[in-house]
Amino acid sequence: MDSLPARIELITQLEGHDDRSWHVAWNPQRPILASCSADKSVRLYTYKSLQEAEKASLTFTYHTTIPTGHGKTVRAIAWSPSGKTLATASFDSNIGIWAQDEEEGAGVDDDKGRSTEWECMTLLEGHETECKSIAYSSSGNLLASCSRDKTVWVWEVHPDYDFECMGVLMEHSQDVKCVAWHPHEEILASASYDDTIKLYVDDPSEDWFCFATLTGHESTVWALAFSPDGRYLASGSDDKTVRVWERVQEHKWECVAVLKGHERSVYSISWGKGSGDGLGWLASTGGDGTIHIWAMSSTAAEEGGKSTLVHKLIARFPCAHDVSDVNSVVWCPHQGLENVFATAGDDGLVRVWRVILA
Amino acid sequence: MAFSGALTLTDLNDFITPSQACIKPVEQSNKVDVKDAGSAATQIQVDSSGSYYEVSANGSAPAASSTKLETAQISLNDCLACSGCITSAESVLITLQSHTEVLNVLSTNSDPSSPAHRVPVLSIAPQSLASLAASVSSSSAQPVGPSRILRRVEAFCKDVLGFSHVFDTTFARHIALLEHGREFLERRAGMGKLPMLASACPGWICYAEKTHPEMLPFISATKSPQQVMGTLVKEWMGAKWGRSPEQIYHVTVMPCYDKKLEASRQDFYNEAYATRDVDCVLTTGELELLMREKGWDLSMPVGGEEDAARRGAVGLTGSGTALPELIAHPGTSSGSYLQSLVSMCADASPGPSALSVRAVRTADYEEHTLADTGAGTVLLRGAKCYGFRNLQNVVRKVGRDAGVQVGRGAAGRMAAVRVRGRPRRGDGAAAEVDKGYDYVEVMACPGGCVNGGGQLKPAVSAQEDAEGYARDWAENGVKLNTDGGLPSSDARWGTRGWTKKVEEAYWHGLPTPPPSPGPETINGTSGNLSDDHQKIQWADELASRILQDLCQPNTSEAIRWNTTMDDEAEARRRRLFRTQYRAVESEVNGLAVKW
Repeated sequence: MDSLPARIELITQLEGHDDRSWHVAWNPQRPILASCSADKSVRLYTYKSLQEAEKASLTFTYHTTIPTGHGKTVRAIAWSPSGKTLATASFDSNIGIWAQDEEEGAGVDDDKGRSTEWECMTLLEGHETECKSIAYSSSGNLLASCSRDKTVWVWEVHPDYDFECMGVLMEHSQDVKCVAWHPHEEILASASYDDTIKLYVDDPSEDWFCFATLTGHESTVWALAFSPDGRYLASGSDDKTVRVWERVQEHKWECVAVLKGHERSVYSISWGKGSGDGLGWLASTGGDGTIHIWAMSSTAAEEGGKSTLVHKLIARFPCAHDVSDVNSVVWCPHQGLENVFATAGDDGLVRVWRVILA
Repeated sequence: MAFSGALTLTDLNDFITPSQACIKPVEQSNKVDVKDAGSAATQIQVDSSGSYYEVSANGSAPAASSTKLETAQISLNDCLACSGCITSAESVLITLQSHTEVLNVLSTNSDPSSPAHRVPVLSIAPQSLASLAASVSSSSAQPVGPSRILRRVEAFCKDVLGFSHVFDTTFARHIALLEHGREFLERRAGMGKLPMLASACPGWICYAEKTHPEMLPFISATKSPQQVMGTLVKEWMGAKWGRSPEQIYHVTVMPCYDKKLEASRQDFYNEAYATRDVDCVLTTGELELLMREKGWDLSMPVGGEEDAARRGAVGLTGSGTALPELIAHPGTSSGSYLQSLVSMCADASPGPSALSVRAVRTADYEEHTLADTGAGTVLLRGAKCYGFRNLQNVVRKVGRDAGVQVGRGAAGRMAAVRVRGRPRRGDGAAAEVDKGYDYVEVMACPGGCVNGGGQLKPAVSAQEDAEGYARDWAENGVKLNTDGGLPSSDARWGTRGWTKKVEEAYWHGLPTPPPSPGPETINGTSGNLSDDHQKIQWADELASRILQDLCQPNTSEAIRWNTTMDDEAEARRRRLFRTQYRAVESEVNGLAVKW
């Protein structure tokens, strides 16, 4: 057994989906964890953190289920930065926009998790086939989605749950698996079955356009995650590796690291703040059911040179969902819970974990 | 697979691309012999020449017992009937409409004295002339306008290829605009739905039929200029020449590949004579290729091309088939559909009116509002909306304003999601301001038809990235025109500056676009405009005469285009100048799709 400096500990297991669970999303403002599934539903859980001596304990409570009404699997979910709106991406090709009625419920659940119903405020149509991923920009003004129809769409969020299509990007030659926004700039990344990653920005006087294509993965790119400081982009692939790309110029990204260790496809990655002074912790998981946690840091800039990215595996947990594939891993964004993450697996379960440094 | 030679995958710059590979199953036309059960096993063998043979599986069958199998072919109609791909015609096997096909037909044509002879006629779109003009001008000291290019194209087609007649399609467009205005008034009077949406863009029509059938009642039923030209050539000119429709071979040159699909629609097939109104559509690029293959230099002037530039304004000539040439319809370079309605409504208004134009983010989405300056009431609320992205927003807006459900079950979608929606804020006056459009000029290409997928591409010097390294973009399957790897504003289309040049060539010396012809400009000093005014008068008169000839109204009085004729004549008008649309049901079998 490898002697790694940290271990991964299961906090709780959340049951209830009748089919494989695909994705989890932490509400950025409120203590809510959402999960979605092939059973076409979204389940919401609230959680409380109790400070007991040295060790924080987290307790999760089932809150509600949104049946969604999507005709097929809900593949991905995303919270708006305000935490008030949830977007669902479904294999029925549509995107649902969900919110609670503000007049009735005053817009928030109280700590007791008093529920007001989540309703579909808008259905965004346009994709021809299965919608695979969805993401809000850091400002919450833009929503991006991608699909098996090879397109990436950018929507502008207007008041009253109105949306305007800002761009239909037809750059990939195959199924687009994932979209991700830069943590503070309006840069969009997409990953595809065509083994490439594409980066897009807006031309204020015209349309969105692809300014870079990142090649290097030898198979499907399944997942993307920007580093919290926005200097790096990580990508997980069917070639069993995670690559890290550094922004070396305003519009130029280069591969600076290849993280190996998974025995099968990497389906999901998440880059959180982690503990310590480095660049944060990168979690990866996938078809081998193993969770890897990498501590990312950079060396001080050498004389006349540039800093170098350093990655170090600090924890590993095999069979995280027993024999099942793990579809998703997502760090908790809340202060004090930087070591907590959730996973979703083909067994229909959502599990919540924490990383404990030895 | 025989793509038209001018077309390679990296040329594609259309904006509705196929969403998946073609999965149309190939029809089995081989007769299956009735055999004993269990003895039906056969194998397929491929011989050295690549032909496929079906042979008996049990044994050393001699060559005589094998059956040669037909090569699978996918026709344009298969594509139109399938929503497997949201057909960009480019990705489809367009074997029936290529420049080699044109050469074949011309070379195998019978002698003109023979009854089997087909009169070859070519009609070219003004956007194609503009593209050729911009291309010629870019490499010559003097700019060359579309009228000269038309003379040179005419000389090439007549002298080298043997065409009998060469026209431009602006007169057909003039008729399309007249009929389109008439249809708009019908809809305003309650016979049909508003907003009316333009129908000249076949890319948009294909998309709407496959993806947004709820939009079809809004789409103008007036034929496109290409198809009006088809009617004029095969029905009206044919009668003048004493030729039946199948005795004419009509080729059009268009800025757009999807026009090939439009021409092959069942609606434009004449069953009685087994012929189409337009037999073959070439793109601008294919015409240019044809000229290059034949060694024709378009930059060389042809005799009399300057005088002939004025030929369009010489007036009616008896019962001939001369058409006014290159009629400038002020407005947009994509057909001026919106502007023609604005002018019509302004003319019909008793008081003075003013047009205000508001760009929504870019010039590809503009709102045009015509208001009565006295009463302050709105006479017409229209929009120009180009490009796939803007098209999405128009579909959403029209669907919302008209209260129709957008989208349907292409991938079994819609399902049971209950959209709660919210009442739109604002009441009273605010609601009035937020009222929907009366008309939208919809085009699928950003920049409109001058930037069509079939247009000539600008000469590209070298493919270099930001640091000046030559890079093989194509190797990565990257479209050269759309991804230069540079975050500069010209990177995407790569051709935006070029599109501007084509737009300038389109308006040939007029301001781009020229001001709408209010009373003050019509009597203005520009010789060009007064020529145009004459031309339009001629066009109006000729249009009325054609209506009379083709519809044969039961009246001795002279008719105008807006005359309502007797029922039988009106029925003929509808058959000749209108068409219809139908939803295409999805035949996509999820299992056949590569994931």
